[in-house]
Amino acid sequence: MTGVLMEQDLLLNAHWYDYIPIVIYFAFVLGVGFVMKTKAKSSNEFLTGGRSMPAWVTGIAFVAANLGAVEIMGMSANGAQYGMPTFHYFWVGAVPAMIFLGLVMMPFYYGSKVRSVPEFMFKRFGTTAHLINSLSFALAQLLIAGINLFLLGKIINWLLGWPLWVALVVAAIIVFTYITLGGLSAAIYNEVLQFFVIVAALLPLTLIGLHRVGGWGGLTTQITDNALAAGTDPALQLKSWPGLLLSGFDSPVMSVIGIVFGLGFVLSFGYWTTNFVEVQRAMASDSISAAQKTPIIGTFVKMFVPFLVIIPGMIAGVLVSEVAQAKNAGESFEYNNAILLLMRDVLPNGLLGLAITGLLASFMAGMAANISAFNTVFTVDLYERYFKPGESDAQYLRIGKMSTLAASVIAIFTALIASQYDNLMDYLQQLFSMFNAPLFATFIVGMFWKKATPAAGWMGLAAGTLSALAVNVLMWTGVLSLPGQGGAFLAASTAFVVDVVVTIVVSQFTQPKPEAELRGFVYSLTPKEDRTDPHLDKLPVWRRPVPLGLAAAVLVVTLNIVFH
Amino acid sequence: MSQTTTVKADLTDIRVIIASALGLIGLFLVIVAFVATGPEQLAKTGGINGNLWSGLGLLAVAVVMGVWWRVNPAGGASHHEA
Repeated sequence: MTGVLMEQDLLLNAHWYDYIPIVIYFAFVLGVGFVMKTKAKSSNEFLTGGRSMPAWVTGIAFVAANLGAVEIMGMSANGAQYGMPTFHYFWVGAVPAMIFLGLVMMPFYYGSKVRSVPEFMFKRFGTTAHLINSLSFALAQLLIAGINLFLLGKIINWLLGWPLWVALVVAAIIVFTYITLGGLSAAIYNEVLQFFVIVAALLPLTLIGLHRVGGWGGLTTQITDNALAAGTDPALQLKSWPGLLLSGFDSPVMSVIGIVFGLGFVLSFGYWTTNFVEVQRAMASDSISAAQKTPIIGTFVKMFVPFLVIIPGMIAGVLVSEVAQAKNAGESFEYNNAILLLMRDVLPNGLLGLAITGLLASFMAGMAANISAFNTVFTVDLYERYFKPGESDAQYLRIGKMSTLAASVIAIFTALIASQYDNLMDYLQQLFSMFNAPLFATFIVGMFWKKATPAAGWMGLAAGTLSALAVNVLMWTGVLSLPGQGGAFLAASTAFVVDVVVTIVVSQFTQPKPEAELRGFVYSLTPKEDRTDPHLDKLPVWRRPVPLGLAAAVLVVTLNIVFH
Repeated sequence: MSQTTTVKADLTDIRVIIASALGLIGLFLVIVAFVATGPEQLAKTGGINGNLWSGLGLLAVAVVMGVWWRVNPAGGASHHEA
């Protein structure tokens, strides 16, 4: 992870003209900031995009905000190493949760007119739960922005040979500039642009790669031959179910259960339904139905992302000599580089420049999403709520911009720490991920049970998070040992159950909020017109959330059957 | 929000931005395809002129985005009649 390369041994052999698409793209990224300046004049427009975007824009941004380094490098690495079971991270680990978010939870988030997920927590459960949620979220965003920035700096160093610190500073300045100018609207527009550039980079890579290995048939034949030669079962890589390599279980039945409940339910619902980085994109849309459709339109995009990252990984596993050799001999290998090596081997100069552009775009957008979510939570949930309520809008707009600056500077330092202490960052990221499953539990109980009390809200959250921590400590110290993803599944499941139980028990002994204050926040106390789009009947059927959600569900089941 | 029935075609529309960015990059790839395609580059792709086809693909997407923007300026916004 630490390799900082000199100019002469760059990973890719870029010519001077490979810089042209990079320059074009970043000119547009900054241009978007200037163009969106007029749409970020009040704090509300700056922080929430003024609730003005069509669903297809926020839907693409929803997926693009998540299409960062981990997804592209990490998932292609998994594709190279494990093959098709990696599809589950998308089809099981994201799509059901996104449909659920759109159909069930989004009407509350959007209909209640809150500006952030922690603000929803405040209105539903009061101060303590809100503080836990907003502080942990804000800290996590600073940390993850730094990690994303570090990965971006590393890739610039590898591909273009710039020193790490120069890359960090330049990238941070670009992100800071367009977000300060254009706010959330600029971040979302750039995420959509980034998405198109990434597809433009990865689609040719996939198609040319497939052509080189003799099409899909050639790819599967070579994977089969290599697996048999190495004495392993090719079906492990060529069939997505039961996914033994992914779950780490030996029993197929346990593996399916682990993937469906562990990955498909507790882990993914925790991540997708309460993560403000994602939900914020939907909140910028122009109506309740558009907010609901944001994650649902996102599923159609999300379903096809694996073809652009996992398939190139699988191709790299047979076509790129270093990867194929390491894989066949079972040697340890930095599989994260598989997709870069495939680019080196199959893309002509020109397309290579576009591919580098796509990677830079994706890494930068990941960081920008963290920062645009951070500045909202900092301004709305911390500064306005606890420090200076009732100030002028101009002042909040100023704080929004100041916190963007602060976050960009802090991210540079976090990135420098990340470059020195890999493991520390891994632990911290795991630590923050422990808030996800309990957050989902608290939100879902709070939305559907009016008797859940403020005290129960924060105690459930705290108990759930601590129980996830306890499970993780048992695993770090080696008391408990589970294969593969098993540990993560167990920690999240435990946290979810503990949170629900504690919330229910504490609610029996404490005072709930008055019902009048819960309108818009609890299902049974929210009139239908508050959580449905008043103009829903004017939309054609195929543009309504529920039919779209059903279509997404049918499509994802079909994909699972075709690629089982 | 004061929306009218006819939404004016707006140059700050995301579709204009996508069309111009992808169009420029597509143009770049097509030019590279004509001036810098040698045997070494073709060996990488297995004989396909990758720059040419990708460039044409990007230009096509740019045209679609541009036409969509001209024909339907509101572009999927929820309720222009509201």
